[in-house]
Amino acid sequence: MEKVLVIIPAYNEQDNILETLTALEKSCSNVDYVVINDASTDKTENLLKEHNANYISLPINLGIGGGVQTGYQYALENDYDIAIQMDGDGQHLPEYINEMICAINEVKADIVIGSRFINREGFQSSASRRIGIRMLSLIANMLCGCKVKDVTSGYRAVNRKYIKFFSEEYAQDYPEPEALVQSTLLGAKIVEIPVIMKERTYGKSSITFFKSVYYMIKVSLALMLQKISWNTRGKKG
Amino acid sequence: MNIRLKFFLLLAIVIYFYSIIFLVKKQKLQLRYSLIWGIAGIVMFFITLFPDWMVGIIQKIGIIDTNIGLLAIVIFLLMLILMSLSSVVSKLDAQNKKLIQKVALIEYRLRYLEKTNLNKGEKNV
Repeated sequence: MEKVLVIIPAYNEQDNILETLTALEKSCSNVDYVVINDASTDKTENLLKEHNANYISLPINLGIGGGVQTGYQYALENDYDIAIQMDGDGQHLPEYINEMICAINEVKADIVIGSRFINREGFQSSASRRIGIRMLSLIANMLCGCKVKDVTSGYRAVNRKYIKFFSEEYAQDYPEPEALVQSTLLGAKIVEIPVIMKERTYGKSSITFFKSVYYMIKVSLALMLQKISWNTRGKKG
Repeated sequence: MNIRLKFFLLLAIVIYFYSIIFLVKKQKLQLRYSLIWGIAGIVMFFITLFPDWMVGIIQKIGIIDTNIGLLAIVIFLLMLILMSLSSVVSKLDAQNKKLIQKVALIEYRLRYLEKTNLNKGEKNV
């Protein structure tokens, strides 16, 4: 039986984190989890302590990339076979975890992405963000043949090989799409499975229309730069 | 360039070099980061002493107005310096991230050991 770890990055999630953990414990008793408290300024850490949760507290806020990478380092140190990233805001339903594990074991996938856009069920995000995500997917496909519909999905599972890789090198600026492009360039087998995501229960997402346009432009440039630097690295190496 | 202007420019360069040496001496500027500022000072020194060389270079590039040419070269050099500083910041950022992650993982292990010891102690009592 393989060891599975769920990595839950959390920043100021006092209203959602316990609900997320309860849902996870209820539907997946066969997996371990670790919450990465990314220097939250609210009561997240106190709640985790009171709940006797398994958590790592970063002393300084690193952002989602640094937080998730800490989870991969923990997974590597503790010899896990599969690591699954799942947001701490309750958007990702733990019911799909076993399906993700199956995709890694049976389809021999290196990375499994939980995608909102295959069956188009559940929370689909705003129209502007959907257009942005579609464009990013198109750019990722053009750059390296990455055929993932939901490149910004933070709900993903990786096998042992990529636990090791991500613990050493994980994109920091726009981690979700960048990590996918990086993995595709490395030759990873990426499988997408349909999932239903919920809207945040509490708190508002900080991403407005202008922010999402700005985000899209920045990420597109970052992906192109990544591809160029990869080509240069490839030629040198 | 008249002698008076040359004198004041050289004086400014002396103050500039003195500031660099002062900061290095007080350990407020590391030697390796002072090098780029030192090179910029040497360039300024040569421009002050031999302005005709600079005029020649600017004309060879194809810039007609010497002032604009000089300004363009200065902006280019400043951009190079800024780029090198961005690279230093990026390196520090990566090191800082590694350190924060290490501290967090060690703190986790410590908390885990404390809890295990506490449980063992309670069992022994």
